[in-house]
Amino acid sequence: MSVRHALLALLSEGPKYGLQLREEFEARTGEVWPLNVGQVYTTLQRLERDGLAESDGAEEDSPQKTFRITAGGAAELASWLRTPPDLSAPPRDELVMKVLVARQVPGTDVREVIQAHRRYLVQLMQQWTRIKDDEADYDLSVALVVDAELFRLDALVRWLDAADGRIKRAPAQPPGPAPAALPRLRRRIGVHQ
Amino acid sequence: MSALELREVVKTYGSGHAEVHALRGVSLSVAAGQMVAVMGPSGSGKSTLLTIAGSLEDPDSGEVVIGGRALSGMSRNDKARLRRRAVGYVFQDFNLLPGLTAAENVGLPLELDGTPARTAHAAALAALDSLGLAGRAGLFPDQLSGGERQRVAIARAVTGERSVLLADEPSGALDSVNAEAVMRMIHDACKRGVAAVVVTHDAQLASWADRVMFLRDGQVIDQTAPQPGPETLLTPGAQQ
Amino acid sequence: MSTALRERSVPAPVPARAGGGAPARRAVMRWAWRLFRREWRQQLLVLALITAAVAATILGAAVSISTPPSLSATFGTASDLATFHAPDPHLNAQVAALRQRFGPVEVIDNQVLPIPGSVDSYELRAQQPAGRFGAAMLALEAGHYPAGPGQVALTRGLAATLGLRVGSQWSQGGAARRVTGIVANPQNTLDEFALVAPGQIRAPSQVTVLFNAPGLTPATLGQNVQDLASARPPNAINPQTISIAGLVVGMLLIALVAAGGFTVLAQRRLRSLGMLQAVGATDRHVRMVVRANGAVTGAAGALAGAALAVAGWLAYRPSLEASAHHQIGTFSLPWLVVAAAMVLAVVAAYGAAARPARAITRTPIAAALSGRPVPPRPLHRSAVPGVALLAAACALFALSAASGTGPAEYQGAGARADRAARRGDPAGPVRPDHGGPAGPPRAGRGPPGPA
Repeated sequence: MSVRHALLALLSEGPKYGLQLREEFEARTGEVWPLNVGQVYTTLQRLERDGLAESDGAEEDSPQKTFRITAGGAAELASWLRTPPDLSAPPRDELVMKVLVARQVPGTDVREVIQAHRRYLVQLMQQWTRIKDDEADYDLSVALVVDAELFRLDALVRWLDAADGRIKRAPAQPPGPAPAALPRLRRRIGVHQ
Repeated sequence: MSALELREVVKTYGSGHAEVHALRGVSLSVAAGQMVAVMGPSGSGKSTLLTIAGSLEDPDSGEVVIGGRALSGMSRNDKARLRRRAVGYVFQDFNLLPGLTAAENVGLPLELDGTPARTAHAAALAALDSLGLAGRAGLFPDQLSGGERQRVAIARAVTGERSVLLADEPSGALDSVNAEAVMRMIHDACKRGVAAVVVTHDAQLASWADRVMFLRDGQVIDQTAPQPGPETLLTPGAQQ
Repeated sequence: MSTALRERSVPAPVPARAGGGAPARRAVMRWAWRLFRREWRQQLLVLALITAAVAATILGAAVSISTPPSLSATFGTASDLATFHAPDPHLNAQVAALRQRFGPVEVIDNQVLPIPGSVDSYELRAQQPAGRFGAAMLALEAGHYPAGPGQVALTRGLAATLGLRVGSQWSQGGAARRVTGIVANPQNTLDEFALVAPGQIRAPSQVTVLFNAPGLTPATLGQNVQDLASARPPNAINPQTISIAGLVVGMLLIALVAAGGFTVLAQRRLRSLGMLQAVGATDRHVRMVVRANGAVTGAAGALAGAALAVAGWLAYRPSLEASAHHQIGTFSLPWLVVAAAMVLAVVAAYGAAARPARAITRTPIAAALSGRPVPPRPLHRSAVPGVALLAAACALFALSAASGTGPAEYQGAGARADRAARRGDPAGPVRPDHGGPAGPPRAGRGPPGPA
């Protein structure tokens, strides 16, 4: 995830020093994504190297070293905001892998596996909803981030429901290998920009 | 003592080869102030569970106990009184009587119980006002939006100090903003001591509950563990 | 939008009576009334049926009651009538005795005279125009009533037959009279006569005395006395009774059809009624709603039917007057039938709605809410009652045919009686072989004789 652009966004408000950047980042993202101080400084150095930010010339690694965004950094930030992230390559979701595998492992009740994951996800969502109930009225960032998480987990639950339905309707024995006649294609998904 | 209890409830529809076992021995207990969500695929018996709990249908076997009183020995009139005083019901889409205004709909259970019309109307207005719907009180259901209709329905279900709230897909036809508003209303009712059972297929809505039960083919196959405090979620460690 | 929790300000409900009492009934009726106002079009068919039945019954009753000739054509407003055939030596003594016993009487003299140059005859009548009892039998259409000797008033038909007008001179039977006016008997427009002032007939062939003898049977007074009850043709069924009987049968049929209509209506409202029950209405409330709907439909149909009947009556009455040959009052509707029809309409509709009312309360609420009516149980009805009624009907038909008193006989008898009466046949009208009724007494004529 792009921490460097989040730091650039914070710098676009005005010059800040390292620790300040870390605190503000965590506060503005609802304390959901903790950030390592070392990670902050490494990212700032890279930004300086790429000319997107500049420091006020104090010694290296001083806590008081202030950073400032450059014109190039502002342009880079604007462009980043509008560029859609690369969603075309599906991540290797561990949950999906577990369900796929469970179908093949002998003696495993796939639906029981699915239910175990479903319960776990719902329990997580219960906790997130409680946070939202407590804090969403006061902190919009918290609301946005928690919503994102809830929708993500919800999507997984919905996929589990769909998988459950498909597996219930599918024939009993696992399917054999694809017929040899069909050429095996490596699937590529993409959208022309 | 639990506000609502189901003990080994069995319900079967049809006969012969068309027989459908909607519920095969379901047990459930809800204390006052608790919200229980019931999740499951369609055909799992969720709606039947709710209609039996709400005295709208009789189980083939098993007990339903509301506030310590068993439903099986009750006459139809007693059950009607129960629905007026103890149990509030919210359906997915059709809730309000078309010929009555929102306020009249909300006050209807009170009036049916013998409250004079004026008092019931005042109570209804107060309930709608506390839910931000005071301006819509004099409108008819076909003049309200879907979200407003559902909220009026919930107002009707909780007016009059009823102890049990049963909701069948209360946010089913609503967008996410209205859906959340509806769940908040039910949650707020629970904070006041109402015991609620919400049937839903939506995990986001179910996550508002204290306990989630999973139904499949008429049986309870799982339920979530009691919740720890929220601070345990935010463990250190970046989630990349 | 903030949904921050506020303290609940809902007041506790007043401790309730069993079943909710009056406020519950009012709430349910309020909903039923709103429903009726919104969905009255769905009930148009039943409404139209009831309206038609009520209107038809009322109109039918009005027509059938008004059509038969009125007895006041001969009785006027008196309740008793004595007929004396001249010459009768005891006439004056008997009239004086009647006057002494029953108070004021009215005497009408009649004389039948031939029309010159024709086989027909006419009647010369001496009657007080503003007589105590006979005033209803006279109406002035033109000119003025004859006041003394030498004056006569004719009915329009008679004037035409004799070729006379108001002001003409008419020599008749040795007397010369001037036609002073055109008169009529409003109770019987077929009555053709020449009116002279009382006392102008020296040798009447028949004297009719009108008086009131309340509570006395005419037989005790004499052979030649009739009252309104004995003058009515026997075996004649009161038209009002027929109408009400027809109304009852009609309403039963309508109730059957309406039951079907109300059942469909109730099915359409199944979800709403289920919702009402889910909110806590009792079975009684639900039944009340459905039945009240029936009653309101019945009442609306009754009102519409009565209004339609009155309008139809006002439109049809003039032509009815012409065809019935006597005057008919503008508002002489059979008000008893009107009231009975309206009440029966409401009762029938209310009753028709009772069965669907019961059926709904037997449907499980969950099924009602989903709009799934419980499939009806197969009905086993025996054919025996229907066959029995059919057989009885056939038997009755056969019986009436065998006795031979069909309509044709009646018409023939009536025509013959009419002609005999006009001729002044002293033997009285010819009676048909089977002793059927021969019509009410005509003005001035003798009674038809024992029937």
